Amino acid sequence: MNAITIKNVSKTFTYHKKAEGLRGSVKALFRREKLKKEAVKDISFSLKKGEFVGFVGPNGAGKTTTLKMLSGILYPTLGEISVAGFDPRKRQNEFKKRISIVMGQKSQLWPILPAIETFRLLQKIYEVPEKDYQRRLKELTDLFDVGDILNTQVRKLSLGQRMKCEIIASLLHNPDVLFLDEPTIGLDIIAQKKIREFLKDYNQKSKTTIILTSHNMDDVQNLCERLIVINEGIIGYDGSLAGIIEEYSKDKIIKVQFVQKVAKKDLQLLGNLVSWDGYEAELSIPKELSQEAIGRLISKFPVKDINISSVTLEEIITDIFNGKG
Amino acid sequence: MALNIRLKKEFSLAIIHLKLNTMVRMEDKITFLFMNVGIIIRIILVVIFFQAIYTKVNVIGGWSYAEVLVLVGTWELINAIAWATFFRGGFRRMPGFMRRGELDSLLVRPVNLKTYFIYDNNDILFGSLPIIFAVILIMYGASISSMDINLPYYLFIILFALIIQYFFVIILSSINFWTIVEQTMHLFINTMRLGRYPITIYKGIARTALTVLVPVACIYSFPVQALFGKLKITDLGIMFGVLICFYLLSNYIWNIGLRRYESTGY
Repeated sequence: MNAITIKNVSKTFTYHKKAEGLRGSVKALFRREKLKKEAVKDISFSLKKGEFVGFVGPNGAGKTTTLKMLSGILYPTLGEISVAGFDPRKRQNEFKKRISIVMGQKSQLWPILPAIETFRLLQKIYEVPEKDYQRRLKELTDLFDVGDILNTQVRKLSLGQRMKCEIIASLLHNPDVLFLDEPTIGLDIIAQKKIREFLKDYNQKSKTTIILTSHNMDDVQNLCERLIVINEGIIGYDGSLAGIIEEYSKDKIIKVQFVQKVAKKDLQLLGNLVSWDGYEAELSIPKELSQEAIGRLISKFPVKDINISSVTLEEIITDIFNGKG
Repeated sequence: MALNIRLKKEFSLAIIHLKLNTMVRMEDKITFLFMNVGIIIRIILVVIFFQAIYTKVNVIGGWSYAEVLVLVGTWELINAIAWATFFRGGFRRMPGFMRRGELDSLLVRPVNLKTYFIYDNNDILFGSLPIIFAVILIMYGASISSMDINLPYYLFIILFALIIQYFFVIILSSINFWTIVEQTMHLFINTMRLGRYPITIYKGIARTALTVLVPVACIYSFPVQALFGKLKITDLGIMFGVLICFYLLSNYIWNIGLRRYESTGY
């Protein structure tokens, strides 16, 4: 059985347009131009229990709207959604106990009080038995190694420490489905790594279904086996992470430095010349031709240094966003 | 969920919020001082105002000085209870919640928001002192009156009054689902001020409007009339009708509003 099924879902927002300046404001008092924005357009996908899926797209692509519809915050305009066997639109308490959402830019912790106080409140809200609460709290704090900060006022914590506490707060009731909206936003590299390690470990142990939205491709690459790319409310790709790299990464990128100046036209014979300044160049060469091109490059040109890489996931996704994929 | 289990959960949540809110308020002693001084000054000024009027007349709209003092006390009591519970809770903060998208985090919690907002920001520390002032004024007004008093009836009608006020607050705060208006609660405060005077001073349409549309008569005057045994059975019937209508209307508007909630961003 699927943990999440979303079928032909659309969401349209209505908003008002107001002309510039005071005159526009006065005019808007009497007559407002009503506009519609179709944030999500007829999307369908499903997730199996325990899957960890990356849901990526540029700002305004419809990622957060989709997460909000899945968690019951928003009503879809059209379509059917099922999460953990429930219809999120009904906003039943039993459904809410089976899900959790972490929004990197919003906090559910009481800033003036220590995190442990919010955890205790959440225990009551989610009706977690005392024994289970103590066990889960210990497990989660041990995994994150944050036992020593639970009694510190939340506002005195670093962003990384606060985010760890946010994640613990969202997992105390042992949800079946976890929605993560930019969980590493604003964090330093070490904190990002720690959170990723935790999430990976947690997903493997608990088999919780996780959807992650992030602009940080390191999050996606390190955590998700499957990727859904959404742009302008439409799903542009839904498949494995390896598949997207295989499908879209058709070229090798070769960065090369020369001992002496090299002519542009000579390099153009090898492949697509992305950049050139005489002593340095970047070439994009189809994977199947790259071996031969590298051989020719080394044998026929005064090469000082050479670096060969594949197109990054970030570049692939940018291409999909820009409709080049 | 069975009613007793739900009540048990709501009670336990109210208690834990009371504890947490008290801990937060303790960080904010200056507000406590200013708020309570403000309330004392307000009560004194209103009493002086009515005292000045009653030096010229014996009754206003059939209400004696003692009854008016009880009315002022009742007004303060009901508003202090509302302030300590549902009024300072989520309903008042709805515009901010909606502008900042904070309602999202509340909507995913397994709680009934309309009940949760009664105690989510409850405040025994700041709320208890105005209640004490109000009770002192009510007791003083009742003690200088020559009429018989019926305290259980008064408390029963106050409970009704608070429930009507609660539904009224839900209706007003639901407006934010259509258009976010920071001033919805100013509207509430300003209309409730009309209840500081005996309902009998208003005539005709104004009186009807203040009984059934903006039910300040039901909320403030009727409990005082009940205390002194002057509440007519027809008024009690009207109050019950208002309560039912406001309950149905608040439920309807709130549920429709939640359906059309659009949050922030895409």
